[in-house]
Order: sequence, then C-alpha cells, then structure tokens
Amino acid sequence: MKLLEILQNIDRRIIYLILALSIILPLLFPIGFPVDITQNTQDVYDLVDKLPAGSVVLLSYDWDAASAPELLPQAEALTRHILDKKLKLVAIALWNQGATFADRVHNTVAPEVGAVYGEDYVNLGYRPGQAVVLNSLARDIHATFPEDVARTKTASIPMMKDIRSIEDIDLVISLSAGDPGLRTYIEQIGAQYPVTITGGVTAVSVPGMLPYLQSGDLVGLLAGMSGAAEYENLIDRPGLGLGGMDAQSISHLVIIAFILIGNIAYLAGGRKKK
Amino acid sequence: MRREVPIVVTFVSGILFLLDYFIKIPYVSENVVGQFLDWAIIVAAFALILGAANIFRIHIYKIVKGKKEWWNSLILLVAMLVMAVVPIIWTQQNAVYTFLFKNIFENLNGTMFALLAFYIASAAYRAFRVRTKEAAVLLVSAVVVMLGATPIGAKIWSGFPEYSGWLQTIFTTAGMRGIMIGASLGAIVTALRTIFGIDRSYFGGQ
Amino acid sequence: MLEEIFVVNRLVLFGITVAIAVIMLIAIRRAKKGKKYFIRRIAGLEAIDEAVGRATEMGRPVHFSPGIASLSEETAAQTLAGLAVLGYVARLTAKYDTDLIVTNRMAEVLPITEEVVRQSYLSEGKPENYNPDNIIFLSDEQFAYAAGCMGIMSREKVAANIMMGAFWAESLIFAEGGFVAGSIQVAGTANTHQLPFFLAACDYCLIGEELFAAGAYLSQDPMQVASIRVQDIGKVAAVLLIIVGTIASTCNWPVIIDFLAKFAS
Repeated sequence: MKLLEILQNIDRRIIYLILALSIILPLLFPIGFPVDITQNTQDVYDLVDKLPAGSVVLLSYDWDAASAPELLPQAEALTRHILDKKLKLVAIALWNQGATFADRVHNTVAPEVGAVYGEDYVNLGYRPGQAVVLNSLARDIHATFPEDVARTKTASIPMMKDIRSIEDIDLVISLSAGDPGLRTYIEQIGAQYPVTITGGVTAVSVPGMLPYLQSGDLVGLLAGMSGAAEYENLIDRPGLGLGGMDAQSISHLVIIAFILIGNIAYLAGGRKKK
Repeated sequence: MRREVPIVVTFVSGILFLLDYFIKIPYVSENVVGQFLDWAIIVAAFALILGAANIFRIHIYKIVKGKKEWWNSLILLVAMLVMAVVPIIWTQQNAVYTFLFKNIFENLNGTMFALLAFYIASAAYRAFRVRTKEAAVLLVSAVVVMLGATPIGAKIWSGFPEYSGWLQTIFTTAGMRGIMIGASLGAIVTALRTIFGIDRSYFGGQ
Repeated sequence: MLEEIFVVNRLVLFGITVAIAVIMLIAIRRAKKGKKYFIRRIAGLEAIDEAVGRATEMGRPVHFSPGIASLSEETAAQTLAGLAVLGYVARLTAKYDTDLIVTNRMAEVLPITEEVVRQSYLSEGKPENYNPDNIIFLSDEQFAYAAGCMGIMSREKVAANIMMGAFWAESLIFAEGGFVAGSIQVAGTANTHQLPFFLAACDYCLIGEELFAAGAYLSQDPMQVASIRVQDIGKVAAVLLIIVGTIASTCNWPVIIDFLAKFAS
C-alpha cells in the first residue's frame, strides 16, 4: 500500500529529472523515427512552391528567443525554399528579437543558395506598435519601415523600389509564438486585403489556430517543431526540426507514463488519497 | 480635465478606427486614420521610456539604500543599459550585441520557456486523475492527442494521428469556437463600454 | 454607391456592431431608470474576497497580474477587463491593510495600473497606504517578466495570486510558481489555448466571457451590468446564425450562402 501512496505523490523533482533525461538522451543518441507529412504542412509548401519566380513573400518573425527551438527551424526551412525558388523575401518583425533571428537565418541560408541582400531578400527589422504596425504597413511599407536593420533607407534598397504596400505582396507568412502574430495578420490584413496568409506557430498555439484553418482565413499551418521537421523533409534538407523530433517523441511518452502511473496507483489505492 | 480628456481621446480615436474598418473615405482613411496610427506607434515607443524609468527608480533606490541583495539590482541596470545602448548606437547587427544576445539572453530566455515542459509534466501528473467519468474522457483524449502529435505515436498505432486530428478538429475546435464567440462578444461590449466612457477602469474608475 | 463607401464584405459585421451598440445603449438607459438586470454567480470572482482575506490573515501580500497584452492589439479588451478587477482587488487590500504587488509586462499599462491602484486607495480613504514601489514594471520580455513574477512570488511568499487578462505561455509558469509558493490562485483569460493550464493549476478560473463580465459583476454598477445583457442577446443571435448557416450549407441554399460570401466574408 505504501508503494501506491508513493506512486500517487511522486516528488516533482523526480519527474523533472526523468523528463530531462528523456529529452537529453535522444538528442545525444538519435533514434530517427520517420516523420509523416501532414496536410497542413503540405499546404504551406504548395503555396510557396506554386508562386512564380519574382513573386514577393512577406515573412514575419513574430517570436522571441524562447520559441526559437520550434520556430527557428521553420524559418530556416521556409527561407531556404523561398530563396531557392527565386522569390523576393521581405522579412519584418512584430517582436523585437525577431529581426536578430531574421539576420541569423539569412546569414545561414543566403550564401548556400546564392541570394543577394537588397536584391533577393531584405530585413526591415522591428517596429513597436503591434497590430497598428500591420494597419500602417498595409497602406505604406516605406513609411512604416523607413530603414532596414542596417539603417539603409528602405527607398534606396533595389528590390524595395516596387514593393510599397500590401498590394505588392503575393504571400504573407507569419511565424508566431503568440500575439501579435499570425492571428493579428488574419484579423488586420486578411480581413481587409485579398492576400493569402499562412504561417507557423508553436505547438501549444495550434488548437487556437484550427478555427481559422477551417474557415479558410488561414491556408496551411506549420505546427511547432514537427511542422518544421515535415517541411525539412519536403525540401529534402534535414535540419534542426528533424533533429529534435526523437526527443519530443520520448518526452511525450514519459509524460504519458507519469499520468498513467499516477492513475493506476490512484485506482488501485481505492481513490482514497488525493 | 483629468476625467474629460481621456474620455474624449478614447471616444474620438475609438469611433474613428471603428468606422474606418467599415467605411472607407479616402481622405480620412489615408490621412486622419494614418496619422493616428503613426501617433499610436510613437506613443507605444515612448511608453517604454516610462517603463525604463520605473525600473531605474525602483532599483536605484535599492542600490542607494543598500537593500537586501542590492547587487542584483546593479546587475539588472548594467545589463539593461548595455543591451539598450549598444544596438541604438551601433545597430543590432553589432558584434557585442549579437554575442550577448546569442550567448546569454537567448539561453536564459530559452531556459524559461523550457521550464514549461517540466511544469506541464508535473501539473499533468497532479491534475489528470480519473476522479470522475468526465476526467476519464479527458485523460484518454489527452493521451491520444499527445501520441498523435509525435512520430512514435504513429509507429505504435497508425490510428493515433488520425484520431488525434479528429479529436482536435471536431471536439476541440467546437469548444474553442464556443468560447471564442462568447469572448468576442465580451470584447466587443468591453470595447464599446470603453469607447462610450461607461467603463472608465483604465484611468482609475473615476 | 454603396460599394464605394462601405467595405461590402463587412456589412453584416457592421450591422451587428451597430445593433450591439444600440441594444447596449437601450439597456443602459433602462438601467438608469431603475431596471435591474440579473447576472449569474461567478465562483471565480467570489473567490477573490476569500483570497484577499486569506492573505490578510496570514499577513502576506497579494500579487496581481493584468496579463501581458498591450493596449494596441485585439487582446486589449482583456487587459481592460483585468484592470477592472484590479480596481476591486486594490480596494479590498486598501480596506484590509494588506500589501498588494502589481507586476506589469507592458510599459504602457504601467501608468494605468498605478492610477487604478492609487484611486482605489484614495476611494477607501487610505491614500497614505498606497506604495508606488509595489506597482512594478518588470520587463517587456515575456519570459523575463515570468521569471520576475516567479521570483516575487517565492521571495515575498505571496498568499494570493490573482491573474486576470490575456496570458500566453507564461500562464503555467505563473500558476506553478504560485502553487510552489502555496498561494490561493484565481485566474481569468479569454485566450482559449491557455485555459487548460489555468484550469489544471489554479483554484478558480474565469473562462472567456466571464472575464469581460468581471468589472460589471464586481462593481454591481447598474449601467455596466446592463451592458452585459447585450452579450447574452448576442449569444442567442450567434446560436441562431450557426443553426441557419449549418442548415444552409447542409441543404446547399445558394441565397444565404451567396449573401454571406458577399457581405460577411
């Protein structure tokens, strides 16, 4: 009986320790579970893939360092695909750290695909003001983002000469860890302008985005690290996303195991203990 | 004046933005509303100075008075100044800022988010007890959704991803929609109450 | 002509907004004339008195967070609703001489929380007990703010942790921080994806619209209570629209579907 009591009241530090091991060990010794492509990821891929060369994609970095493990792999995979397809990429950020991550992604991907700053891609950086920034950007990108991150005048950047308002954008992608983010784009841009909106979110935000997917306001969705892993599979470039999937799988199993242990002990112990 | 000015500003800007969403009068939409948008961005940026002033006031007081663990306040102020001043002067592509961001800030921030995994495990272990029939349904759904979200789930049983998707798109979304509709109505009413000056809690309720 | 001025695909929404505003103003007018509207009991809000009372008995502070949303996004209404609850909590702590710590993530919300708390202490006749150093801006970084809150909860041994507003991933960090500190916890948010965390880890939780009704419920101001009435009417209208929409798309009635596609897409 004592064992049942212990199993019902496992110290939280023991739970933390076992969970930590379940994350660290698969990262050190990968298992390589196969990753299947979901329809939502396929839809995002198709949107980018079907755009003709020269089309303009707005990629919004609406996240911070905390969400980087989930959204940085998504950003890398998407940027690689966009620049590889010879599309024009305009990166902006509604979160202040987003611009730094945009720089990092560009520095990694651009040399690999031979993209040139100012001609193929640009990083306009962060503006405070949240939803208001999107309303303003839709009317006039140059006024909302007068300079890029390196403080070059937006008007003097070659590729930005013809990209002035939301009407010059062919696809909006928001990678978001919350608001302002994908939902803000749907409500402020999607509701007012005829531009397709897609994006990626952290796994915890997925249920909140499902109604928008069903209503068609949002087309396709990358869901957390698994979304990144699937996209990496689609562009055939394994990266950070696929690398983290084993750890995610095993840690999910560990959490389920703890829930089941607690319940079995609870039921076997006659439901007396809290 | 302390009462009237905020009410008038709220009413005018609220009505203007609300109407602009439905009715587009070219001059008003581009110039007046556009101007308000610029002001809003500038005011939001200035609010950060207020926040910084609050931090300075509280922590300088702690340092000067030698309060308990005053050195933490000192570290906070130095870190804040460095992370603010360096990118303002030398842009955020500067090597010092990039180094501090990548090697200190990013890791600290990531650690806080990573704590969630541990807290979820601990909270789920405590909360998911089959005390009632409803709790049992919740437990089974949670297990199916969690397994359906990972590659290992599909390997255990191919039905997990399918049923996970079914649970999420049918039941979760239905519930979410219900709460969203209720919350949206609440948000609309709260917004209208604020615009019409009926709810003045945002400036002390007077 | 209509299409030149109106954004045509928002006409239905425009009609609904005008209808809500008109019904609200009528309800308020009736309330002014003395009509009393019923508002159901909300357990989470009743628990606030209990939570502050417990903190008073223990001689430990109350922590309040108005959420982490700014005032310039669609979740601003949640912050405003949270501020209404803050006014009530501050009046209670003023009355019982209990310390109240308010933490802010958004700089623009800081002067408002300061003013709300100051006014509440003033209205309870205890302006001298108002301590501006307890109204703290921690950081506009989400997780730096969360870390700061956890630190305050554990250092100050907070007895009651009240969280009302828009929360995201930090919700569980707060709730676990409060749990470890042994606080009684009351939370409320309309961010549906965070509700499961609050429900799992807090003693009481306001779900969605309950948060927006909080100000009216706590103040019992007849005009505010009357405005809540509109939410109920809106819900009935939403249910009817869902039924009509479901039947129309199931039976494939083009008139209704085309109307909605044109005026409410």
